[in-house]
Amino acid sequence: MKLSTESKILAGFLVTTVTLGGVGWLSYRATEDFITAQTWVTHTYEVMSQLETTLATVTEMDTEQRGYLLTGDTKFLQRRQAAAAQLPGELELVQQLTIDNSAQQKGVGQLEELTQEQIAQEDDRIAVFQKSGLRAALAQEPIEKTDAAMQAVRVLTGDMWSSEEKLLIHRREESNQLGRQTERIIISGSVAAVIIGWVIVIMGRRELKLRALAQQAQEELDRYFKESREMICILGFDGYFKNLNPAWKWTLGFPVEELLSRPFIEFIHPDDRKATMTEAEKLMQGNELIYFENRYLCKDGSYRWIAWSARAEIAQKAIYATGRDITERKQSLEKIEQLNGDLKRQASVLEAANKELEAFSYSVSHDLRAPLRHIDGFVKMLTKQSGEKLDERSRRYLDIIADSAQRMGALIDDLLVFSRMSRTELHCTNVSNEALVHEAVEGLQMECNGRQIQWKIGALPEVNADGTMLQQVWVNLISNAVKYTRPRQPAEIEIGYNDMGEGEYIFFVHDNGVGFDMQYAHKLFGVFQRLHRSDEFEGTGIGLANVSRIVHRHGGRVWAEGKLNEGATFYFSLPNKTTGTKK
Amino acid sequence: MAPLKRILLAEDNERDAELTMAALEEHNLANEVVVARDGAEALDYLYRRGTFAGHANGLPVVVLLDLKMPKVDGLEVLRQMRADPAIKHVPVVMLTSSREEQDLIRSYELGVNAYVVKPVDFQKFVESVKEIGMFWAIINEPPPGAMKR
Repeated sequence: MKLSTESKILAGFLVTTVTLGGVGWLSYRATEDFITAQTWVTHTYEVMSQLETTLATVTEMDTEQRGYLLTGDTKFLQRRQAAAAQLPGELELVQQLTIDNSAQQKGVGQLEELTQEQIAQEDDRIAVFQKSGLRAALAQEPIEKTDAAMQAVRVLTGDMWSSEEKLLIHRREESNQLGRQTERIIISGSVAAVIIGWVIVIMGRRELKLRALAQQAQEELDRYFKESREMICILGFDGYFKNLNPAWKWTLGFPVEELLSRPFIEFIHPDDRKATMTEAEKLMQGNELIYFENRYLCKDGSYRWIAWSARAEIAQKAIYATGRDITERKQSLEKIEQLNGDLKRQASVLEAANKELEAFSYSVSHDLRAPLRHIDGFVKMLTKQSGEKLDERSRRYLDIIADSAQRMGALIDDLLVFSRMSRTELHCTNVSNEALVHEAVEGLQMECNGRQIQWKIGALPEVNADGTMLQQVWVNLISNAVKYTRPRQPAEIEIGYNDMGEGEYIFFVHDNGVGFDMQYAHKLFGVFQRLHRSDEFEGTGIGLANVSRIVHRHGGRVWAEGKLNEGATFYFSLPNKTTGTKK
Repeated sequence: MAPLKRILLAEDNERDAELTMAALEEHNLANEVVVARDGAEALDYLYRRGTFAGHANGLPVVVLLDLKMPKVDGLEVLRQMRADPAIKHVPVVMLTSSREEQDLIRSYELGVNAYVVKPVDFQKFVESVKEIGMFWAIINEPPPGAMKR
């Protein structure tokens, strides 16, 4: 069970009060009893003393009477009379002292009777003595009678005395017991007080420690509240802020007092008010708000975007919310969206351009070739129809027309292949360069017929590439080597590669052919660029352009080294990555 | 008696049509050819409607289709033919200038029987057309329902 500090203090106070009060009361009672017991002891002593005094007075009265009887001296008589007069008072004292004790009262009564009888005897005797002398007195009242009375008195007082003595022993014992009991009560009371004292000290210290911790926690909370960059607020269900941290002033510029004094909705952008109220109502129904954005008015009239999370305490009729200024983030988001939009537009422009290019090449492919076919076709038909009627020169002109048409057809076809190289998707697999090279060499058998060619083909690694395209590269480079070594006898063609160890292989095709002048090297890989006339070496000049395009698309580079009439070396690099799946 | 028209040539370009006819002439196949000037006409011929309503010929032994034609292009003609059980078996040869991969793929997807790129060189063109005519009109056994020679 958890008790509040107040309850603990009250309970402690009650326990302490009851314990110490009980101890005090018990001690008081014990002391009272002890004092009473002591009083009784003293009282008993008094009774005993009074009994002795009484007996002494009785004895004195008798003795003085005898002295008078023996001497006739009135001094004895006077003393005897004084004692006799004193005796009733003594007895009364005894009677009063033992008023609580009926047995002793009875004794006192007997004692009174006995002493009165004795006084009466003695008075008689004295009276006879004064009238008739000693003999007559003793005859009248024999002295033995008095002795017997005296004896009876003695016995009686002795009884009473010993009865008191018994009481004394009992009362003293009782008093001692009470004394010891009082002692115990006081000691245990003191021990209890000491224990309670310690408990109070320990509990007090603990309480103080807890309080210090609680205070520290509170201070930390306050500091967080005051120094947080997040906007923290408690919003009442009445639509007014109940508490705001300084971040509000820093963010919006309004003093906190002003924000507290007006309905909160007035600070929200008119366009966001409806959505804000909807969220607030959901909160008031007990829903948690995870994320909500709205715009808050600033002192300078601008608005800032705040992102909220909140919970409501229905019992407190309040919403506890934290907000973060996301204006900058919003702005950068807008910028990103804008840039994204730009990119999308550019992408669609590019896509459109690509489409146009495709449409263009399609048109080239289909529409441009048709007229060429017609030229060639109708020239041929004309030649067939009227060739014999034409002179030599006209027939040559017709041949040139047909030849030009065919040549343009070839150029168009080359251009289309080149364009396809750029557009077709790459289908990369692990490709054996050795196989590609051997296929290419075999495919060139026709061109090699009747020629002496020394092939030097080294081992070549596998690469991850589009096999069909890479085949084009090898075919182009090797057929070039075959073509441009035509004047050599024997021709030497070397194919190999270097592993540069920097993530790429460098392949090369070297020949001892006609070579080229390095100052024109930059033209080698251009579309329809040639370093030889077509009557020297046939071709349109598309082959190396295709090689360059394909290698670039695979992430590699191409270049060439050569010297006029001393041969050429064509290089291309490819990344040396192969995928796990072997073809 | 007029000769049976056993070959349907769909070609919008007059000159191409003339060259094709010239090539077929060399093999005495020209007078067996009906020329449609676009895809719509080709379909009209196959369904005997429009300008070709009520012609006496049966289904052709082969249809030579140009890819690019006004109104209905070659691919659409092919698609419609293959979708109709009545004419789906008629052999179709694409005779076109296009070497574009998409055209090839599309044609074969639609079930073309052959795809021939018209060469620029007339001699080669004549050879090609001659071989096509020879093969489809003479060597090949046409599906049931087509006209026999």
